[in-house]
Amino acid sequence: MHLKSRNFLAALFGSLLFSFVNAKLSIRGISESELHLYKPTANGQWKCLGSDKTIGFEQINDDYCDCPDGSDEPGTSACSNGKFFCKNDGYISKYIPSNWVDDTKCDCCDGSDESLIKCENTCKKEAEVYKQSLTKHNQLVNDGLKIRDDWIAQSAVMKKETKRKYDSVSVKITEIEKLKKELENTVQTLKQSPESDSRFVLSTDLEEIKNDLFNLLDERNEYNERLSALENLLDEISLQYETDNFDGTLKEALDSWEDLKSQNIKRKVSSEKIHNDLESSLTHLSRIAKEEATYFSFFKKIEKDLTEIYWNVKRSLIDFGILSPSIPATLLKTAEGGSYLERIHSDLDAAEDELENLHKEQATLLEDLQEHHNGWDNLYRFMKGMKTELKVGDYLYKILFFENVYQDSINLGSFSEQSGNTLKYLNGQSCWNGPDRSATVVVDCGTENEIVSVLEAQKCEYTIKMKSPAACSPSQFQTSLLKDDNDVPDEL
Amino acid sequence: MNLVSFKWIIQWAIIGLLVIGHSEAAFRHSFRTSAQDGFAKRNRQLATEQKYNPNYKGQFQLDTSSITFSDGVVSGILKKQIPEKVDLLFPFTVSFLQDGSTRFQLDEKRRLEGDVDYDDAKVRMDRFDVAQYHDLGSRINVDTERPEVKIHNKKLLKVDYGNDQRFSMILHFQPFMIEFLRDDTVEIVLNQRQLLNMEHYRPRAERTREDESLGMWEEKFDNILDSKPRGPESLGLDISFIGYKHVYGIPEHTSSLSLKETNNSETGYTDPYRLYNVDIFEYEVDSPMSQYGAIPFMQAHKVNSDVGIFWSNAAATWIDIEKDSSSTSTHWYSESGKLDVFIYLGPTALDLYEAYSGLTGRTQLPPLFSIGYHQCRWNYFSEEDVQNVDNTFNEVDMPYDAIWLDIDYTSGRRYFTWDEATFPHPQETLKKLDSNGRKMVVILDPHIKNDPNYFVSKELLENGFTVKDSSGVENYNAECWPGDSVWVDFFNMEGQEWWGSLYSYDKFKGSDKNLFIWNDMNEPSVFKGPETSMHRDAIHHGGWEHRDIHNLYGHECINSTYRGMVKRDNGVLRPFILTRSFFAGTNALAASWIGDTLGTWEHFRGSLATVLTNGVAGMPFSGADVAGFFGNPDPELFVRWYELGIFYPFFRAHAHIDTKRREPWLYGEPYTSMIRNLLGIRYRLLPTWYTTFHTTHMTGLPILRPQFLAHPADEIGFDIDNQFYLGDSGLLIKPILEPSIDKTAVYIADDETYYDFYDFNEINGKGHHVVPAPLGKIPILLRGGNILVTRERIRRASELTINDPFTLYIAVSSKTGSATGDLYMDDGTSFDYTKGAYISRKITFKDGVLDVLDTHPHPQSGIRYAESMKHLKVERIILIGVNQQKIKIRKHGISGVSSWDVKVDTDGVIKKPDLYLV
Repeated sequence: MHLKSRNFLAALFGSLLFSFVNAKLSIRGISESELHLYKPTANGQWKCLGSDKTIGFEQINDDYCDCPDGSDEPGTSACSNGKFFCKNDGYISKYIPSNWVDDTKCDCCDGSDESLIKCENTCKKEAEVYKQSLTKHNQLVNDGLKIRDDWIAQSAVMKKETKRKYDSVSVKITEIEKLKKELENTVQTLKQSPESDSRFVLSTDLEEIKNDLFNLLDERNEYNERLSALENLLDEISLQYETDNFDGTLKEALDSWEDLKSQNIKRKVSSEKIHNDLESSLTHLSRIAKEEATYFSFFKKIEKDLTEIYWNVKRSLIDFGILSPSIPATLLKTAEGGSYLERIHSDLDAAEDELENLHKEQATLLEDLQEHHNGWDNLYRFMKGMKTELKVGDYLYKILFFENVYQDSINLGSFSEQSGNTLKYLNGQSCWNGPDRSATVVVDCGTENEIVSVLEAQKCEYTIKMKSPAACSPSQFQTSLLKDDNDVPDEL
Repeated sequence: MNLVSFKWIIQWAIIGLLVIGHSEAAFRHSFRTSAQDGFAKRNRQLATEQKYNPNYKGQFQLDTSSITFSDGVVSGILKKQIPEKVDLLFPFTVSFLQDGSTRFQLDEKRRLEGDVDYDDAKVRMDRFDVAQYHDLGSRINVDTERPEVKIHNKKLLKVDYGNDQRFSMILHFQPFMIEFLRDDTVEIVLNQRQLLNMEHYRPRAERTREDESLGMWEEKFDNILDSKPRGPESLGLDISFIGYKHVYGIPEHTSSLSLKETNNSETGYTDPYRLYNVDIFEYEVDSPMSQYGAIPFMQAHKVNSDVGIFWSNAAATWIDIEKDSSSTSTHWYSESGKLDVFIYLGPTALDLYEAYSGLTGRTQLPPLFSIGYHQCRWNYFSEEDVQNVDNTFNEVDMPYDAIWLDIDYTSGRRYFTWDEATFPHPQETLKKLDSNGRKMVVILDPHIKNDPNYFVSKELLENGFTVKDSSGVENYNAECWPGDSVWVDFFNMEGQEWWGSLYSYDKFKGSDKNLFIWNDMNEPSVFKGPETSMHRDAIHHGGWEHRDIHNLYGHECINSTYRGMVKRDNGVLRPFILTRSFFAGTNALAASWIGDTLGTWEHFRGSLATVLTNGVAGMPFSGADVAGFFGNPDPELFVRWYELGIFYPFFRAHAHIDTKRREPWLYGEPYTSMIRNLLGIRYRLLPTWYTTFHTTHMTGLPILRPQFLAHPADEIGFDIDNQFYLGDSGLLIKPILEPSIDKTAVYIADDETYYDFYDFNEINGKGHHVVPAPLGKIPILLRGGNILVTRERIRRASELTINDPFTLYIAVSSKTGSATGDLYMDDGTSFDYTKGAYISRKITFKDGVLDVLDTHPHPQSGIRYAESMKHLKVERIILIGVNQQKIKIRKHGISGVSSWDVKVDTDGVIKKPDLYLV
């Protein structure tokens, strides 16, 4: 025989053996791609896949566990740590744990895991369901993304608006700071100039107060005179018609008048007393101011006291009806009517107040503008405070994005942090016999904001599942794992 | 927050803690002491008088002319000796029964004949008869053949009875006293101390001032009035166990296994053991206080001898125990009912349990799944919650059999309904559980929300199946979980039928075949009721007062549920029911757990003696919540509790709503792996557990055997209650009940070799041996001479193992060189086993030969089932304590014997011995 033909025969024999081996190797519980691992050595031995132990090739799938890694029993339940390959033709292949094999429960859709009972092949059915749910899922993600894009756009507008506000606030701050600086300079200048002599300033102020008060008293006297005239007139009417018959209305008016008269008398007495008191105290003050006041700080105090006295006086006058509260502008000291220094101080105070507010506003706006809302940054402006509610049992659950979660009126937590699509709300109202309430909101892609479930898995710790377009992402699109849809390899 | 207000809060928090701590101690004041229970006080006074008054005389005089004996029954009449009273007659009987036991009954003639007047009260005239009501009648068969009068003279009557007339009864006439003898040795004596008491009928009009102080006509406890329409009617008797220093039983208490003296400063017990079913949460450990169940069965044990008594009474009962150097005397007293005592003379524990459980009922052979691990919590709140827990068990590769739902799965605590928001699709949930071979158990309590729009309430009220208040007319109304509630009257047979019918699939919407039942709060528990229970003067169907039947209420509830569940599945499938309350015989219907334990070492330790005692007294399918109902146990206690938990016959994890989540993987590593291993041991041993349950079902022997039962001649073991054997398997378990230890001393009672179950290390010699016990590893020894049958493949749930191969552990006796073991198995679900559909094998090993014998008493009746199980094989045999290269296997079947040799590997393992059990 030629060498060549012997080689040919050997090759032929070899390929026969190979196919024989292949035939034998349609081993239960193994994927085709793993078949090459299950080949005997020349003397019929086989080495465990995950250990150095060698066993007889016939010990594979003999329903007795020999390999520490369980690799010798892929098709039985003998090893506790093995895995079984479900081919699931027409659907998706998968592995199940060995201890699910031959336990009378059908776990593979092709039923290959059960030899003791007959399992219905449900792969086709499951593939249908899978396809439908996949389509539905991708549609959902698609729709959700559109809404999300819209929200992002709106959010961008809002963010732009926020930025604009921020800028304008910043500009305003600059302006007011400038104004403040000027005012401070003015105060400084006044303090250093001769006119800024405090005694001068104070006595001038006091003069003004005095003049005002005397004006006020004059006016009051005028009113009183007019009132007396009126009284006389009414007295005359009263006397004239004393014996005649009146209708009830007029009589009543006259009765009231009598009452009023008696009050007026009392009032006159007390207001005159005030008049005198005022006059003397103001004169006294004016003298003190002129003679004794020397330091600005001291004057400042006096000035304050005086302002108080002034306001007290004013209040008394109003109370006693001497002064009408509706006519203060002419009589009361306004910013314009005050002293120059006082006016500057008041302006300075106002500037400081406004600055404080503006800084606050600026900080809030800055926080909004900062990018610390993991992943949802471009949605934050639009979603902040957005409300979703669901009644579960007796309770109404309410989620305010990035703010709070409520169970009826109970605060379950304030927004604390976000990681991916999970939002944590911490430090809610504390529980009797338990911790502070807290809520974890897990958001899944959806076409609208919607609470799916609420679970208080342990006391006062809530897990809320919800759907929202905010959680949609292009990475959620799924491609079919079915072989006929895509060319997917066995290994999954 | 400023510092001042912070301080203020801390201050109040501390005050709050003090108040809470205090309320626990104050809790005991919600329950009566014997001094606060009028009838108990009266009977205890009698005992005190007997002890200290040398002129004390019993109240009863026998009319010797009345004594007769016929057809296995001695009858006679006792007269009560009270000045100015005549004709207080009390007929009694002593009946000799076919099972070798004796029954002593006493009643008052007037009440038997209805010659009494209770004014207008709507109550019965006669005394309550537990045996008649409890359906024991059919099991009581008088022995008309063997008993024989041996002596009858002026002083006494002697009757020999039982097998070979081994037993004798001697009735002494003056004073009245009954002795029970075995082989001419006195074992039990009734009325030795002349404490026999039965309060006679008297009209209410004749009550005296002294009566009032003794609480005869009305009584107040916790500001709640008990109107006592029948006045005083208590009964009592002293029962002495001659030569017995140890008595056991009368659950449910958290006390020691060997019961303590009750009027003794040394034991710390000043009150008697009490039997009065109550909802006592956060109970005290080491106390004779009542708990949830009551079994008036007591066993006395001495070297190689067991005797016992069953006090057939369902009213409030107290039992005083006194011991002297050689004997134990007990004093039993109950508030109402007939006097009815069963006397058992053994001589072995098996004889005792067979006879006693033959009377009250053998423990149910439960469905296989119920012997697996149960996962419970108050509450799994939604279908999603249930699904997550179920899935996680698969992910972490832990087996479990049933997930449980506490009260909050219902719609507003309306039982037989589901919360629509959280459990909208119960059947789908059940189906998903079934795809993993798992079950669901839901709670359903006997208090029913008073709500006209709720179908159960509506049917209950329309049919009038409610318990009535003392008027006998109005519904008994009180608060319970659902708020204003009424209670089902299980003493109305139609009411029982109706309650049972609620379990049918068409009534209990959303239920399915893998849904099982938990009846809780059936003491019954009544919020703000006297001692957290029902008013004693509430009235049940037939005119029974609640006081007459109290301890039987839970049992009758379960009776009703059991029958309803059998009916639900057309009599084919075995029900599984968990009950909190129980009475003698409830074991035939349900499992129980020991109630609201704290997650503390103290309660953990206490659980073992309680579970052992429940087992001895006939409620063996019992366990405690793992790892305590209340509190958040630390990882060490958590793991140690699982270690013991895998050896509770009923193995369930449960936790209060205020606790942190504690599913067995939540403590993280290394604890999760420890618990996985422990669960693995429980599941590997399922064939042994099931065989043990079957033995208990057939014989009444407990599942967990305390030392005194496993070694009846070893006196050292008689009061050991911190280690135990699992049935006849030879497994000795010594749980770790203390923190911070990693080894323990196990007590060995014999000179047999014991093998460490983990590494087969030998332990030899009688006495204490230190064994390692690192966290996660409970000491388990296998006694030489036993063959242990396991299934090493751990499935998702126990029912999924029924086709799996077995492993045999052959632990050879160092004395005989042999070993033996048993295996029982059936389908694990149906009643077919009652028709013979099971496999029963005895496996023996001696001189290198393994014999497998068919021990089915009627092999033909089991043949169809056996044929279906032909694939059942032994995959592995492990030889322990013997070195051999090969052994011979001999299989004995209907068609003869086949035998073959198999090779033993160097590690003592025989792989694939080609042994099929059928």
